[in-house]
Amino acid sequence: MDNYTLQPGSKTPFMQFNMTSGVFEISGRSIPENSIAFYKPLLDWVDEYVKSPNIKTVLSIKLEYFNTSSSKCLVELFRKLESVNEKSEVTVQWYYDEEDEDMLESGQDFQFILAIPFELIPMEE
Amino acid sequence: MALNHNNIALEEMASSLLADKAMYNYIGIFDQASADKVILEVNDLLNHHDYSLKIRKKAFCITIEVVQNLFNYLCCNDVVYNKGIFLIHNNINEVAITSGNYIRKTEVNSIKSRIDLINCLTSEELRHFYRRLLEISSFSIQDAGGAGLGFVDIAKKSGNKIEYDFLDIDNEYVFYIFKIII
Repeated sequence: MDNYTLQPGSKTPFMQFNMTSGVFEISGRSIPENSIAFYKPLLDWVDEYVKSPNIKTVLSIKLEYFNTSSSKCLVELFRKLESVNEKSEVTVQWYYDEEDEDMLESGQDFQFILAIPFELIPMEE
Repeated sequence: MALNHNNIALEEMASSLLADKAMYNYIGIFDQASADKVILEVNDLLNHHDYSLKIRKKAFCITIEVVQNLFNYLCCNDVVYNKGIFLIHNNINEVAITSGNYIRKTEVNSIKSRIDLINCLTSEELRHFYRRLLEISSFSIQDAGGAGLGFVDIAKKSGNKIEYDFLDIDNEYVFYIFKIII
């Protein structure tokens, strides 16, 4: 199984999901009109990863903007990682600009509905 | 908003909305390319304006939701009915975002009831409602939009009530105006 890497576009984020290290990253902007089609290949990749996950998985999310259709896809991604958490250690790290209270609130919303360790990490401007 | 006109042309409607000088306006066909163009131009505009980071980010996030929502509601490939307007007005320490597009009359009640429900909620209730929608959201091609999260997100981020109006156009269509102040 190969790593999943996607370079950023004007409306889509950088993605790097490393199979062997279990270190995953999503960063930049996630504002595609059709988020479902955009995230489907990644979610298919994660379905395979879940079958034989690393002993430790860390997903770092550093988003500047995301639309509400992307938030549905992120929930789907987090749900898949919840199933990994039954077999091994999983942490989601949600980075936000310390002045961006909406991005903090979004992280708190995900944290509230999920059953995996979800860290909120402020970043200085 | 109190705009009551029958069979009004898009350009006339836009003119009445533009009367108090928009800092940004797009009037015309709304397709993928024009939606992208609006989002890109609004991003540049907000970055070169003297707003706080907080207002800039809220205004841009809401612009994305409004433009993509407008694009999702477009009346197929009809050259008359796939036109829309998107305006930004600059008030003191405030940004007003207005969109307008044609929708079928059959969609009016559904949009109206969703906005009315959201407008009744306090900020705390909005947050709980948003979390509930997020929790039950489904990942399916059939439900490619924001699962109703868009309106709630806009109301939550703006901290204001959503204003709307439906202007009668003909037997089948109305012109749907959406306005939010940030």
